[in-house]
Amino acid sequence: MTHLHIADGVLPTWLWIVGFALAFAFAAGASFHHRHDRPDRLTLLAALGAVMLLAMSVPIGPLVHLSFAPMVGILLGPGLGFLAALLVNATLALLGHGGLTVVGLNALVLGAAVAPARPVYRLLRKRMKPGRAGAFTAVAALACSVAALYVVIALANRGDLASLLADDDHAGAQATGRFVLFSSPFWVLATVAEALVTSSVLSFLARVRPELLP
Amino acid sequence: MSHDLALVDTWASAGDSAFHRASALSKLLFVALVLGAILSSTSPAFLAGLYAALCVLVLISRVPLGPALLLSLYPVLFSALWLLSRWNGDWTMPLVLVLRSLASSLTAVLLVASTPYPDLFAPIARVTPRLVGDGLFLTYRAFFLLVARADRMWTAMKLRGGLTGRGLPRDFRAAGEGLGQLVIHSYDRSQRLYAIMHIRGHSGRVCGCRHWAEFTAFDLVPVGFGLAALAMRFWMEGR
Repeated sequence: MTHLHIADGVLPTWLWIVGFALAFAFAAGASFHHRHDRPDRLTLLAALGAVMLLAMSVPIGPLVHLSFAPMVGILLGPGLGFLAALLVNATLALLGHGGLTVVGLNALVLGAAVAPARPVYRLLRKRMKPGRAGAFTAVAALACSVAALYVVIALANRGDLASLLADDDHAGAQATGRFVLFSSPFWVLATVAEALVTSSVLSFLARVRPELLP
Repeated sequence: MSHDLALVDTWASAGDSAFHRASALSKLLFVALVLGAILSSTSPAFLAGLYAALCVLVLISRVPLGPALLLSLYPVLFSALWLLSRWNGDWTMPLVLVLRSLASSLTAVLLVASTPYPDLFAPIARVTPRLVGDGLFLTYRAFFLLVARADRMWTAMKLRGGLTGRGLPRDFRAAGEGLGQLVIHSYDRSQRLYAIMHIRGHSGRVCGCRHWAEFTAFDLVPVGFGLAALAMRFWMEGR
Protein backbone atom coordinates (compact mmCIF):
# COMPACT_ATOMS: atom_id res chain seq x y z
CA MET A 1 0.00 0.00 0.00
CA THR A 2 2.97 2.32 0.12
CA HIS A 3 2.72 2.95 -3.57
CA LEU A 4 -0.19 3.36 -5.95
CA HIS A 5 -1.33 0.08 -7.45
CA ILE A 6 -4.24 1.41 -9.46
CA ALA A 7 -4.06 0.17 -13.02
CA ASP A 8 -4.42 1.71 -16.47
CA GLY A 9 -7.78 3.14 -17.46
CA VAL A 10 -8.95 3.88 -13.93
CA LEU A 11 -7.71 7.42 -13.31
CA PRO A 12 -8.82 10.42 -15.43
CA THR A 13 -6.54 11.13 -18.39
CA TRP A 14 -5.51 14.60 -17.23
CA LEU A 15 -4.29 13.20 -13.91
CA TRP A 16 -1.91 10.59 -15.30
CA ILE A 17 -0.62 13.04 -17.92
CA VAL A 18 0.16 15.57 -15.16
CA GLY A 19 1.77 12.70 -13.20
CA PHE A 20 3.98 11.83 -16.16
CA ALA A 21 4.95 15.47 -16.70
CA LEU A 22 5.86 16.01 -13.04
CA ALA A 23 7.80 12.74 -12.79
CA PHE A 24 9.68 13.57 -16.00
CA ALA A 25 10.47 17.07 -14.69
CA PHE A 26 11.74 15.70 -11.34
CA ALA A 27 13.77 13.00 -13.12
CA ALA A 28 15.28 15.57 -15.50
CA GLY A 29 16.08 17.85 -12.55
CA ALA A 30 17.70 15.01 -10.58
CA SER A 31 19.60 13.83 -13.65
CA PHE A 32 20.89 17.39 -14.25
CA HIS A 33 21.78 17.89 -10.57
CA HIS A 34 23.82 14.67 -10.51
CA ARG A 35 25.38 15.08 -13.97
CA HIS A 36 28.90 15.57 -12.55
CA ASP A 37 28.66 12.65 -10.09
CA ARG A 38 31.20 9.87 -10.43
CA PRO A 39 29.83 7.15 -12.74
CA ASP A 40 29.88 4.66 -9.86
CA ARG A 41 26.84 6.52 -8.46
CA LEU A 42 24.93 5.26 -11.51
CA THR A 43 25.94 1.66 -10.84
CA LEU A 44 24.99 2.10 -7.16
CA LEU A 45 21.60 3.56 -8.19
CA ALA A 46 21.00 0.51 -10.39
CA ALA A 47 22.14 -1.90 -7.68
CA LEU A 48 19.85 -0.40 -5.03
CA GLY A 49 16.98 -0.29 -7.55
CA ALA A 50 17.49 -4.03 -8.01
CA VAL A 51 17.48 -4.58 -4.21
CA MET A 52 14.24 -2.55 -4.07
CA LEU A 53 12.68 -4.89 -6.67
CA LEU A 54 13.82 -7.89 -4.63
CA ALA A 55 12.49 -6.39 -1.38
CA MET A 56 9.11 -6.00 -3.06
CA SER A 57 9.05 -9.79 -3.36
CA VAL A 58 8.76 -10.07 0.43
CA PRO A 59 5.00 -10.40 1.06
CA ILE A 60 3.57 -9.10 4.34
CA GLY A 61 -0.05 -10.10 3.79
CA PRO A 62 -2.84 -9.72 1.23
CA LEU A 63 -2.27 -6.65 -1.03
CA VAL A 64 0.81 -5.63 0.99
CA HIS A 65 4.53 -6.07 0.44
CA LEU A 66 7.67 -4.22 1.50
CA SER A 67 8.72 -1.20 -0.57
CA PHE A 68 12.25 -0.58 0.84
CA ALA A 69 11.74 3.05 -0.25
CA PRO A 70 12.82 4.70 3.05
CA MET A 71 16.02 2.62 3.11
CA VAL A 72 16.88 3.49 -0.50
CA GLY A 73 16.12 7.14 0.26
CA ILE A 74 18.51 7.10 3.24
CA LEU A 75 21.31 5.49 1.21
CA LEU A 76 20.93 7.44 -2.06
CA GLY A 77 19.48 10.81 -1.01
CA PRO A 78 16.46 12.58 -2.54
CA GLY A 79 17.58 12.99 -6.18
CA LEU A 80 19.01 9.57 -6.96
CA GLY A 81 16.40 8.01 -4.67
CA PHE A 82 13.60 9.48 -6.78
CA LEU A 83 15.28 8.09 -9.90
CA ALA A 84 15.43 4.65 -8.24
CA ALA A 85 11.68 4.90 -7.50
CA LEU A 86 11.01 5.79 -11.15
CA LEU A 87 13.16 2.92 -12.46
CA VAL A 88 11.49 0.39 -10.17
CA ASN A 89 8.00 1.53 -11.15
CA ALA A 90 8.86 1.45 -14.85
CA THR A 91 10.14 -2.13 -14.50
CA LEU A 92 7.03 -3.16 -12.54
CA ALA A 93 4.70 -1.58 -15.11
CA LEU A 94 6.29 -3.70 -17.83
CA LEU A 95 5.26 -6.74 -15.78
CA GLY A 96 1.65 -5.57 -15.76
CA HIS A 97 2.06 -4.56 -12.11
CA GLY A 98 0.79 -1.01 -11.76
CA GLY A 99 -0.06 0.12 -15.28
CA LEU A 100 1.98 1.84 -17.97
CA THR A 101 0.06 5.12 -17.91
CA VAL A 102 0.41 5.50 -14.13
CA VAL A 103 4.20 5.06 -14.03
CA GLY A 104 4.58 8.81 -13.40
CA LEU A 105 2.06 8.88 -10.56
CA ASN A 106 3.47 5.68 -9.06
CA ALA A 107 6.94 7.23 -9.14
CA LEU A 108 5.68 10.40 -7.47
CA VAL A 109 3.92 8.45 -4.70
CA LEU A 110 6.90 6.16 -4.06
CA GLY A 111 9.24 9.13 -4.52
CA ALA A 112 7.37 10.93 -1.75
CA ALA A 113 8.67 8.20 0.59
CA VAL A 114 12.20 8.23 -0.81
CA ALA A 115 12.86 11.98 -1.02
CA PRO A 116 12.46 13.01 2.66
CA ALA A 117 14.12 9.89 4.09
CA ARG A 118 17.75 11.08 4.24
CA PRO A 119 17.06 14.57 5.72
CA VAL A 120 14.73 13.06 8.35
CA TYR A 121 17.24 10.31 9.18
CA ARG A 122 20.09 12.82 9.58
CA LEU A 123 17.94 14.90 11.89
CA LEU A 124 16.93 11.93 14.06
CA ARG A 125 20.41 10.41 14.03
CA LYS A 126 21.67 13.30 16.18
CA ARG A 127 19.55 12.01 19.08
CA MET A 128 19.08 8.31 18.39
CA LYS A 129 20.92 5.13 17.42
CA PRO A 130 20.78 4.18 13.71
CA GLY A 131 18.14 1.46 14.13
CA ARG A 132 15.67 3.57 16.07
CA ALA A 133 16.29 6.62 13.83
CA GLY A 134 15.65 4.38 10.80
CA ALA A 135 12.35 3.10 12.22
CA PHE A 136 11.02 6.61 12.83
CA THR A 137 12.33 7.73 9.44
CA ALA A 138 10.42 4.87 7.77
CA VAL A 139 7.18 5.89 9.50
CA ALA A 140 7.63 9.55 8.48
CA ALA A 141 8.59 8.65 4.90
CA LEU A 142 5.65 6.29 4.45
CA ALA A 143 3.29 8.89 5.93
CA CYS A 144 4.45 11.28 3.18
CA SER A 145 3.91 8.58 0.56
CA VAL A 146 0.43 7.67 1.76
CA ALA A 147 -0.50 11.36 1.95
CA ALA A 148 0.59 11.69 -1.70
CA LEU A 149 -1.47 8.59 -2.58
CA TYR A 150 -4.58 10.02 -0.91
CA VAL A 151 -4.10 13.36 -2.72
CA VAL A 152 -4.03 11.44 -6.03
CA ILE A 153 -7.17 9.51 -5.05
CA ALA A 154 -8.96 12.71 -3.98
CA LEU A 155 -8.02 14.43 -7.27
CA ALA A 156 -9.17 11.39 -9.25
CA ASN A 157 -12.51 11.30 -7.46
CA ARG A 158 -13.00 15.04 -7.91
CA GLY A 159 -12.03 14.78 -11.59
CA ASP A 160 -14.63 12.48 -13.05
CA LEU A 161 -17.01 11.23 -10.43
CA ALA A 162 -19.09 14.37 -10.92
CA SER A 163 -19.97 13.19 -14.41
CA LEU A 164 -20.93 9.73 -13.14
CA LEU A 165 -22.98 10.94 -10.17
CA ALA A 166 -23.99 14.41 -11.24
CA ASP A 167 -26.72 14.80 -8.61
CA ASP A 168 -24.44 14.16 -5.62
CA ASP A 169 -21.96 16.96 -4.85
CA HIS A 170 -20.31 15.06 -1.98
CA ALA A 171 -19.81 11.80 -3.87
CA GLY A 172 -16.12 12.45 -4.57
CA ALA A 173 -15.31 13.23 -0.95
CA GLN A 174 -17.29 10.20 0.22
CA ALA A 175 -15.49 7.90 -2.22
CA THR A 176 -12.12 9.25 -1.04
CA GLY A 177 -13.16 8.74 2.57
CA ARG A 178 -14.17 5.15 1.85
CA PHE A 179 -10.84 4.51 0.11
CA VAL A 180 -8.94 5.88 3.13
CA LEU A 181 -11.06 3.73 5.45
CA PHE A 182 -10.60 0.51 3.45
CA SER A 183 -6.89 1.00 2.87
CA SER A 184 -5.87 2.14 6.37
CA PRO A 185 -5.43 -1.36 7.88
CA PHE A 186 -3.11 -2.36 5.02
CA TRP A 187 -1.16 0.86 5.41
CA VAL A 188 -0.70 0.37 9.18
CA LEU A 189 0.51 -3.21 8.61
CA ALA A 190 2.90 -2.12 5.85
CA THR A 191 4.29 0.75 7.95
CA VAL A 192 5.00 -1.46 10.99
CA ALA A 193 6.75 -4.03 8.79
CA GLU A 194 8.73 -1.39 6.90
CA ALA A 195 9.81 0.29 10.16
CA LEU A 196 11.03 -3.04 11.59
CA VAL A 197 12.89 -3.93 8.40
CA THR A 198 14.46 -0.47 8.00
CA SER A 199 15.56 -0.50 11.64
CA SER A 200 17.07 -3.95 11.23
CA VAL A 201 18.92 -3.05 8.00
CA LEU A 202 20.33 0.14 9.53
CA SER A 203 21.46 -1.60 12.74
CA PHE A 204 23.13 -4.27 10.61
CA LEU A 205 24.86 -1.74 8.35
CA ALA A 206 25.97 0.36 11.35
CA ARG A 207 27.67 -2.74 12.79
CA VAL A 208 29.15 -4.16 9.58
CA ARG A 209 29.72 -1.26 7.13
CA PRO A 210 29.10 2.07 8.90
CA GLU A 211 30.78 4.01 6.06
CA LEU A 212 27.76 3.30 3.82
CA LEU A 213 25.44 5.33 6.08
CA PRO A 214 25.05 9.12 5.76
CA MET B 1 7.85 -10.65 -8.24
CA SER B 2 11.46 -11.67 -8.68
CA HIS B 3 10.49 -14.99 -10.23
CA ASP B 4 7.97 -13.27 -12.51
CA LEU B 5 10.70 -11.04 -13.87
CA ALA B 6 13.05 -13.98 -14.46
CA LEU B 7 10.23 -15.94 -16.16
CA VAL B 8 9.27 -13.09 -18.48
CA ASP B 9 12.90 -12.53 -19.45
CA THR B 10 13.20 -16.21 -20.43
CA TRP B 11 10.08 -15.95 -22.64
CA ALA B 12 11.46 -12.83 -24.34
CA SER B 13 14.89 -14.32 -25.03
CA ALA B 14 13.83 -17.84 -26.05
CA GLY B 15 10.80 -17.09 -28.26
CA ASP B 16 10.92 -17.03 -32.07
CA SER B 17 7.32 -16.26 -33.08
CA ALA B 18 6.41 -13.55 -35.59
CA PHE B 19 5.64 -11.24 -32.66
CA HIS B 20 9.08 -11.91 -31.16
CA ARG B 21 10.76 -11.15 -34.49
CA ALA B 22 9.05 -7.78 -34.94
CA SER B 23 11.14 -4.74 -33.98
CA ALA B 24 10.85 -3.17 -30.53
CA LEU B 25 9.69 0.11 -32.05
CA SER B 26 6.72 -1.51 -33.82
CA LYS B 27 5.76 -3.31 -30.59
CA LEU B 28 5.90 -0.02 -28.68
CA LEU B 29 3.59 1.43 -31.37
CA PHE B 30 1.33 -1.62 -30.86
CA VAL B 31 1.17 -0.86 -27.12
CA ALA B 32 0.33 2.82 -27.78
CA LEU B 33 -2.45 1.94 -30.25
CA VAL B 34 -3.98 -0.78 -28.07
CA LEU B 35 -3.79 1.41 -24.95
CA GLY B 36 -5.47 4.21 -26.94
CA ALA B 37 -8.32 1.84 -27.83
CA ILE B 38 -8.61 0.56 -24.25
CA LEU B 39 -8.52 3.92 -22.52
CA SER B 40 -11.02 5.55 -24.87
CA SER B 41 -13.55 2.71 -24.72
CA THR B 42 -16.52 2.55 -22.37
CA SER B 43 -18.05 -0.58 -23.91
CA PRO B 44 -17.74 -3.81 -21.87
CA ALA B 45 -18.41 -5.82 -25.06
CA PHE B 46 -15.54 -4.20 -26.96
CA LEU B 47 -13.14 -4.50 -24.02
CA ALA B 48 -14.04 -8.17 -23.46
CA GLY B 49 -13.54 -8.86 -27.18
CA LEU B 50 -10.18 -7.06 -27.17
CA TYR B 51 -9.06 -9.00 -24.10
CA ALA B 52 -9.98 -12.27 -25.84
CA ALA B 53 -8.07 -11.16 -28.97
CA LEU B 54 -5.02 -10.35 -26.82
CA CYS B 55 -5.22 -13.84 -25.27
CA VAL B 56 -5.19 -15.31 -28.81
CA LEU B 57 -2.19 -13.12 -29.67
CA VAL B 58 -0.39 -14.39 -26.54
CA LEU B 59 -1.07 -17.98 -27.65
CA ILE B 60 0.08 -17.27 -31.24
CA SER B 61 3.25 -15.71 -29.82
CA ARG B 62 3.85 -18.97 -27.91
CA VAL B 63 4.01 -17.18 -24.58
CA PRO B 64 2.50 -19.47 -21.88
CA LEU B 65 -1.05 -18.15 -21.48
CA GLY B 66 -1.64 -19.25 -17.86
CA PRO B 67 1.33 -17.47 -16.28
CA ALA B 68 0.80 -14.42 -18.54
CA LEU B 69 -2.84 -14.18 -17.41
CA LEU B 70 -1.78 -14.55 -13.77
CA LEU B 71 0.65 -11.65 -14.19
CA SER B 72 -2.10 -9.54 -15.75
CA LEU B 73 -4.32 -10.17 -12.69
CA TYR B 74 -2.11 -8.14 -10.33
CA PRO B 75 -3.73 -4.77 -11.04
CA VAL B 76 -7.23 -6.18 -10.65
CA LEU B 77 -6.44 -7.30 -7.13
CA PHE B 78 -5.00 -3.93 -6.24
CA SER B 79 -7.79 -1.99 -7.97
CA ALA B 80 -10.40 -3.76 -5.83
CA LEU B 81 -10.15 -1.18 -3.05
CA TRP B 82 -10.57 1.64 -5.52
CA LEU B 83 -13.62 0.07 -7.14
CA LEU B 84 -15.13 -0.81 -3.77
CA SER B 85 -14.80 2.79 -2.59
CA ARG B 86 -16.60 4.10 -5.68
CA TRP B 87 -19.30 1.49 -6.20
CA ASN B 88 -22.78 2.99 -6.56
CA GLY B 89 -24.77 -0.18 -7.25
CA ASP B 90 -24.19 -0.09 -11.00
CA TRP B 91 -22.10 -2.92 -12.48
CA THR B 92 -21.22 -1.32 -15.82
CA MET B 93 -18.47 1.06 -14.69
CA PRO B 94 -16.66 -1.47 -12.42
CA LEU B 95 -16.83 -4.00 -15.29
CA VAL B 96 -15.35 -1.47 -17.72
CA LEU B 97 -12.57 -0.56 -15.27
CA VAL B 98 -11.70 -4.21 -14.54
CA LEU B 99 -11.63 -5.09 -18.25
CA ARG B 100 -9.48 -2.03 -18.97
CA SER B 101 -7.04 -3.12 -16.23
CA LEU B 102 -6.90 -6.71 -17.48
CA ALA B 103 -6.46 -5.79 -21.16
CA SER B 104 -3.83 -3.10 -20.56
CA SER B 105 -1.72 -5.20 -18.23
CA LEU B 106 -1.86 -8.17 -20.63
CA THR B 107 -0.67 -5.79 -23.37
CA ALA B 108 2.31 -4.77 -21.20
CA VAL B 109 3.08 -8.41 -20.36
CA LEU B 110 2.94 -9.35 -24.07
CA LEU B 111 5.37 -6.53 -24.90
CA VAL B 112 7.95 -7.49 -22.31
CA ALA B 113 7.49 -11.25 -22.87
CA SER B 114 8.31 -10.90 -26.57
CA THR B 115 11.09 -8.27 -26.50
CA PRO B 116 14.57 -8.78 -24.98
CA TYR B 117 15.34 -5.97 -22.56
CA PRO B 118 18.25 -4.34 -24.48
CA ASP B 119 15.92 -3.93 -27.50
CA LEU B 120 13.09 -2.66 -25.34
CA PHE B 121 15.10 -0.15 -23.31
CA ALA B 122 17.14 1.24 -26.24
CA PRO B 123 14.32 3.39 -27.71
CA ILE B 124 13.11 4.37 -24.21
CA ALA B 125 16.65 5.51 -23.28
CA ARG B 126 16.63 7.91 -26.24
CA VAL B 127 13.73 9.96 -24.90
CA THR B 128 14.48 9.89 -21.16
CA PRO B 129 17.10 11.71 -19.04
CA ARG B 130 20.53 10.03 -19.11
CA LEU B 131 20.39 8.57 -15.60
CA VAL B 132 16.93 7.08 -16.27
CA GLY B 133 17.84 5.50 -19.62
CA ASP B 134 21.15 4.09 -18.42
CA GLY B 135 19.66 3.21 -15.05
CA LEU B 136 16.98 1.01 -16.68
CA PHE B 137 19.64 -1.12 -18.40
CA LEU B 138 21.80 -1.44 -15.32
CA THR B 139 18.92 -2.03 -12.86
CA TYR B 140 17.59 -4.87 -14.99
CA ARG B 141 21.07 -6.37 -15.27
CA ALA B 142 21.79 -5.93 -11.56
CA PHE B 143 18.50 -7.58 -10.69
CA PHE B 144 19.44 -10.80 -12.49
CA LEU B 145 22.84 -10.81 -10.83
CA LEU B 146 21.16 -10.53 -7.42
CA VAL B 147 18.11 -12.75 -7.75
CA ALA B 148 19.88 -16.11 -7.52
CA ARG B 149 21.88 -14.98 -4.49
CA ALA B 150 18.72 -13.65 -2.82
CA ASP B 151 16.88 -16.94 -3.45
CA ARG B 152 19.70 -18.94 -1.86
CA MET B 153 19.80 -16.57 1.11
CA TRP B 154 16.01 -16.74 1.77
CA THR B 155 16.13 -20.55 1.52
CA ALA B 156 19.03 -20.74 3.98
CA MET B 157 17.25 -18.40 6.39
CA LYS B 158 14.06 -20.49 6.26
CA LEU B 159 15.95 -23.74 6.77
CA ARG B 160 17.77 -22.31 9.80
CA GLY B 161 14.55 -21.00 11.33
CA GLY B 162 15.29 -17.33 10.65
CA LEU B 163 12.03 -16.84 8.77
CA THR B 164 8.92 -18.55 10.09
CA GLY B 165 6.65 -17.10 7.39
CA ARG B 166 4.07 -16.07 10.02
CA GLY B 167 4.77 -12.35 9.76
CA LEU B 168 6.24 -12.16 13.28
CA PRO B 169 8.39 -9.15 14.27
CA ARG B 170 11.46 -11.40 14.38
CA ASP B 171 10.72 -12.40 10.76
CA PHE B 172 10.98 -8.77 9.73
CA ARG B 173 14.18 -8.29 11.72
CA ALA B 174 15.68 -11.37 10.05
CA ALA B 175 14.45 -10.19 6.63
CA GLY B 176 16.07 -6.83 7.37
CA GLU B 177 19.45 -8.43 8.10
CA GLY B 178 19.12 -10.42 4.88
CA LEU B 179 18.32 -7.29 2.90
CA GLY B 180 21.24 -5.56 4.63
CA GLN B 181 23.54 -8.27 3.30
CA LEU B 182 22.09 -7.73 -0.18
CA VAL B 183 22.71 -3.98 0.13
CA ILE B 184 26.37 -4.60 1.00
CA HIS B 185 26.74 -7.16 -1.78
CA SER B 186 25.09 -4.74 -4.26
CA TYR B 187 27.35 -1.90 -3.17
CA ASP B 188 30.50 -3.97 -3.64
CA ARG B 189 29.25 -5.30 -6.98
CA SER B 190 28.39 -1.80 -8.21
CA GLN B 191 31.96 -0.66 -7.44
CA ARG B 192 33.34 -3.65 -9.36
CA LEU B 193 30.97 -3.02 -12.28
CA TYR B 194 32.08 0.59 -12.46
CA ALA B 195 35.75 -0.52 -12.51
CA ILE B 196 34.97 -2.96 -15.35
CA MET B 197 33.08 -0.28 -17.31
CA HIS B 198 36.00 2.11 -16.81
CA ILE B 199 38.54 -0.46 -18.05
CA ARG B 200 36.37 -1.15 -21.12
CA GLY B 201 36.34 2.53 -22.04
CA HIS B 202 32.99 3.70 -20.62
CA SER B 203 32.38 7.15 -22.09
CA GLY B 204 29.65 8.30 -19.74
CA ARG B 205 26.74 6.69 -21.60
CA VAL B 206 25.52 3.08 -21.68
CA CYS B 207 24.69 2.30 -25.34
CA GLY B 208 21.78 0.00 -26.12
CA CYS B 209 21.61 -2.41 -29.05
CA ARG B 210 20.85 -1.09 -32.52
CA HIS B 211 18.26 -3.70 -33.54
CA TRP B 212 15.26 -1.93 -32.06
CA ALA B 213 14.40 -0.12 -35.30
CA GLU B 214 15.30 -2.75 -37.92
CA PHE B 215 12.00 -3.18 -39.72
CA THR B 216 10.90 -6.41 -41.40
CA ALA B 217 7.61 -7.90 -42.62
CA PHE B 218 7.06 -9.23 -39.08
CA ASP B 219 6.40 -5.65 -37.95
CA LEU B 220 3.05 -5.82 -39.74
CA VAL B 221 1.76 -8.20 -37.02
CA PRO B 222 1.90 -5.82 -34.01
CA VAL B 223 1.16 -2.66 -36.00
CA GLY B 224 -1.72 -4.35 -37.87
CA PHE B 225 -3.20 -5.65 -34.60
CA GLY B 226 -2.95 -2.23 -32.98
CA LEU B 227 -4.57 -0.44 -35.93
CA ALA B 228 -7.32 -3.07 -36.12
CA ALA B 229 -8.06 -2.64 -32.38
CA LEU B 230 -8.33 1.13 -32.74
CA ALA B 231 -10.47 0.86 -35.91
CA MET B 232 -12.79 -1.63 -34.19
CA ARG B 233 -13.14 0.69 -31.22
CA PHE B 234 -14.30 3.58 -33.46
CA TRP B 235 -16.51 1.27 -35.55
CA MET B 236 -18.31 -0.09 -32.46
CA GLU B 237 -18.56 3.06 -30.37
CA GLY B 238 -18.09 5.99 -32.75
CA ARG B 239 -16.17 9.03 -31.50
